[in-house]
Amino acid sequence: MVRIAHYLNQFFAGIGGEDKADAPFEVREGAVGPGRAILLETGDDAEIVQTLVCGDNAFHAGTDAILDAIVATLAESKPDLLIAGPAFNAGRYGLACGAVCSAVSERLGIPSLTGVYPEAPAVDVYRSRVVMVPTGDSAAGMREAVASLVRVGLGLAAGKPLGPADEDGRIPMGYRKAVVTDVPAARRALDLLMAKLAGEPFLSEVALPKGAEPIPPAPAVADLSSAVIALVTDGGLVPEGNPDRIESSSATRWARYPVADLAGNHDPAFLSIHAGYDSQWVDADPNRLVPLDALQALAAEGVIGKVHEFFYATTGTGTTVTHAERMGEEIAKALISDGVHAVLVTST
Amino acid sequence: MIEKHGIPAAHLAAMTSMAKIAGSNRIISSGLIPHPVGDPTRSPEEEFKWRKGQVRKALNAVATPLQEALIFPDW
Repeated sequence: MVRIAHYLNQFFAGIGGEDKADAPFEVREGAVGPGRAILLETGDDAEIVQTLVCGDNAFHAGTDAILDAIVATLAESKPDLLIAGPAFNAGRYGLACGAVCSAVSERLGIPSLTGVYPEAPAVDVYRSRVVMVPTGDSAAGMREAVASLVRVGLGLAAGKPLGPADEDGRIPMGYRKAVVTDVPAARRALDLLMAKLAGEPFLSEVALPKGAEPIPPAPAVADLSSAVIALVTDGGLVPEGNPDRIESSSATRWARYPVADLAGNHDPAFLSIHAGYDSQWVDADPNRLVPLDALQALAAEGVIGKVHEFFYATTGTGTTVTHAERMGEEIAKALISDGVHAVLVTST
Repeated sequence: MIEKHGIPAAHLAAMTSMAKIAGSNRIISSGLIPHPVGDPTRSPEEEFKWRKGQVRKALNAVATPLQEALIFPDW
């Protein structure tokens, strides 16, 4: 019989809602709440030896100490499997489930898993380290969520190796595993092509990253000669020393700098910290990335109204669509509040 | 995202197909990957003149009404 430990927040443990989110960590014997649904699914194949309960706010206020307490508890009870949640689309709860699973598996070697809505914040943070099954976005999907947790969880407890995420019914962990096949790549590629040409279903072996949402074009600038134009780049141009610590790749940060500083280009000089291209030509003359000299000349000639006083920069290499969209939103809002009419973006 | 908020944005890049996939609407083919608005093979004066021309193309793009994404021809 598989011995399961189960993690729940205050809500699913029946303590209360948001007003009880500071409920302290406690250990209860046996199954509580969704744990009973888990046992209905496992039948006699498993028992829940302990339920670990913690309020969502309490968990995030004292994460390290609570994780230590959970690890100490399970080091003693030695369950075969830890199930956390399911947390559905709950932000704090999902993150707590991810943290608990990752601590228990990494520190005790006990297999663990949780169930979350595929777009929940915990997925971005823990997908590479924690086994997760997809659930609906609310507890209305409890039955299906529990069935998936039990199916995948009992496999983990039995030592069954992970297969491809879609075959296992898991959220992809973001890495590829090499397998030996009898059919060479050229032949598989041709099979895919033939299926595509014949209009038959086919499945790419390489998952493409999530694409950007198409956005309808913004209205054109009516009168350039009175327009304020801003410069934006993803080529990683920052003042020497990179004061805003924009990442060289997989950026999560952006910054804006006065074009007056760039026009002088001394003390501090501007350099590219982008790790995805050879920046020697840009470092020698940043106008090759952010065309300030040309735009200022056109402003002086009256072709445009004015060059916006800041240019905006981040690094566009390995940057996730999620972060790129968020940074784009933030930059767009800053441009709007500064009264910018149009933007020139340069990409390396 | 900038266009989503109603500000037209011209995207100058060497990899125009990448710009299209990334969701840009007003795309201008420009320069090479490490220097989209630079051309170190030219003299500084010639390079500046060329860059001004590229910027003018981009300004023309933000002043052009569009229904859907367009890689502007290199006119």
